Amino acid sequence: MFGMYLFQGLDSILRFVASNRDIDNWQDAAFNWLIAAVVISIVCVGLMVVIKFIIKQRAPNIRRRVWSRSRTIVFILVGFFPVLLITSLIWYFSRDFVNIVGVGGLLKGILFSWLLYTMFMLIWHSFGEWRRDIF
Amino acid sequence: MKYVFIAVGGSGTKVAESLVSLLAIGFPIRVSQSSAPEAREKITAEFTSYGDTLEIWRLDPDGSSGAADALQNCVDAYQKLQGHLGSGWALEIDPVIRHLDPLHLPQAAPTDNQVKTLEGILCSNYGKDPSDPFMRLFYEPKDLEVKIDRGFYQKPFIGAAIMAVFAESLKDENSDGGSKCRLNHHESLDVRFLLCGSLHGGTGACGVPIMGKYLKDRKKEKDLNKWRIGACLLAPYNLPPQPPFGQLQDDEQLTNALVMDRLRAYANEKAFAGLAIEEQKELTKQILLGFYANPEDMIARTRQGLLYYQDHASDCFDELYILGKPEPDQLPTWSNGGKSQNNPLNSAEAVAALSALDFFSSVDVERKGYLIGTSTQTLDSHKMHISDLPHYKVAGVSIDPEKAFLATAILYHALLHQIPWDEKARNWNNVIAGLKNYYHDDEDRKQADAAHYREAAALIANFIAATVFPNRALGWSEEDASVLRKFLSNDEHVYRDISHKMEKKGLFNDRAKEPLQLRVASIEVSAMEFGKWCPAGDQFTRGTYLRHVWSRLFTKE
Repeated sequence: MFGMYLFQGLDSILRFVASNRDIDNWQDAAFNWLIAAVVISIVCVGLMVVIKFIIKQRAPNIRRRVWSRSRTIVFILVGFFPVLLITSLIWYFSRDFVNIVGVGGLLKGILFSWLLYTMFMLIWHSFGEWRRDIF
Repeated sequence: MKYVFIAVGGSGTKVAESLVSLLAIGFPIRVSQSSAPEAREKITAEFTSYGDTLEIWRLDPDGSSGAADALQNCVDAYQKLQGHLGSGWALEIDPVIRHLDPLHLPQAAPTDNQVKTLEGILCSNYGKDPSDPFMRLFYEPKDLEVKIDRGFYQKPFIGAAIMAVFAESLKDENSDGGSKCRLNHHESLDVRFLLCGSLHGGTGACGVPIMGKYLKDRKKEKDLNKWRIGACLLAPYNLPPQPPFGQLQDDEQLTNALVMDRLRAYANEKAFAGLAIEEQKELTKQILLGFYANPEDMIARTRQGLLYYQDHASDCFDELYILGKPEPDQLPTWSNGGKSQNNPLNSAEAVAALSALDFFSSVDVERKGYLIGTSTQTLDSHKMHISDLPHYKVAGVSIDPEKAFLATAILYHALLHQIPWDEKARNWNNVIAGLKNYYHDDEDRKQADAAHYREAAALIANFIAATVFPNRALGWSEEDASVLRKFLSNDEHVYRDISHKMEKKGLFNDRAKEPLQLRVASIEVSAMEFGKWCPAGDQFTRGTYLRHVWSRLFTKE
């Protein structure tokens, strides 16, 4: 019963992402698109975390190491750009994504990646020293 | 431990002012144990003066001297500093300076000891026997008749008799001096008395040996083993200018007409400013009769003073410090006591104050004898460097005054310019974990403390400036002052260089880029290292925090 609901849910998500469902195996392309969005957001989170760690570690004094909430939010927002760039490039260089996912799916995928990226960044900032940068 | 600094005369008073300044700047006299959460060994030795008390007695017939006002202002500023820092920064100084007036003597009748001349005191009816026959043998009439309520004018032979009567009066706790000194109360305490005065003056030269002898006799009589008595004697280090006009020649007579003539000619001189007409006349008479500090007599008087100590007085003291300057500094204005006697601090007074710290911090109670500071041949006593100051020991560790000044200057800079007071404490990260934990949930407290720190830092900077900056104190080099000014500046363009040196070396290296230097002393500390220093939570006050950081800075190479 649960498996059936899961299948129906996934199917509707795939339909939401795929603009052109006339091509055979459109489900595979749509699924790959979703996986790509997840991977891109995780990679970008990793990238931004490493960048932030280096910036903080390089700070020569206490003042420069203290990040205000607004600075942290701006930094997270800056991470949207690589997410956008990588997602667009991956979409552009894959014929399946261009043909099946289409421009509509691209925009939905970017939005999805941004959401995941924001969520992962907030989770990362929920623990340890960085918690005080935003919460 | 209780310390009693007995400032005798104008020089002693200036040394007391210098001592208060050094204590405010952070000079330690003892070691206490402190727990430091970030330190590996957990318990660290902390150099401090906190935990002891200092009382200042000022023995001087000149109750209205400018030096006394300057000392009172200095003690008031010290109290303000303590108020801003709470407990923990420095020892407690009794805000009430005990002004011991040797002319304020017991009376058998209301008319006794009212005339403030040597004759007026010694021929008072209070004495057991009349002194008149003896006085005429030892003193000239002018010595007996001169008013001595502004000091003894470099004539210790006038003051000695008064001081002896005054010392005798201390036995009576109901007398003015006895009630202020409360020696009965001090008998049960562990007390170090340090007397300080000049060798060449009047009040200091007669007051130090007589008070020292009185305290020694009392110690011996009552077997007060917990008392230690020391003295710091100052040979000439300041040269007063000549008075506005000269004294009478041997063949000249003092007449009212002559007094009025001189007064008319010199009434606009600074020395006469602010005096009532009667006071101006009295001052004119004093100058004409030669009752003033004559720079030409100073060396001879010092020699006489030292001979007196050698033959009669040195045994009164457990320790005796003697210091002076090979070439005394020229004072800018002439004064014969009173409000106009308001000289700037002198580097020799800082050396004398350090000898007081040496005496107070000494743990070797058997240490006895003379301590005569020597200086290098290259020392220019008109332009001393802080590195020329003598070291003293606290718990066996040599205290380098230059490093102490440097530690305080770095503390000032780091406290005001390295801690992000303008950021919310909740945003502070683990680099300043100690302070962050303390202020974490209390932004109001952080803001209030930041204001207190700013006020306290300004006061400390003022103490440093008054002690060693050549525009405010005599005998110092401009070189050290210009370096210290950078540390004490609140202008980012000026202190940028210091902040740069305190930056961390590399990505994973928290050590400082460059050491911070004064002239010889240097301390290598990065802002990151500074941020980690904080006393354990339950000990935290503003004062304990600063003292903890100061001690860490001072012990850092």
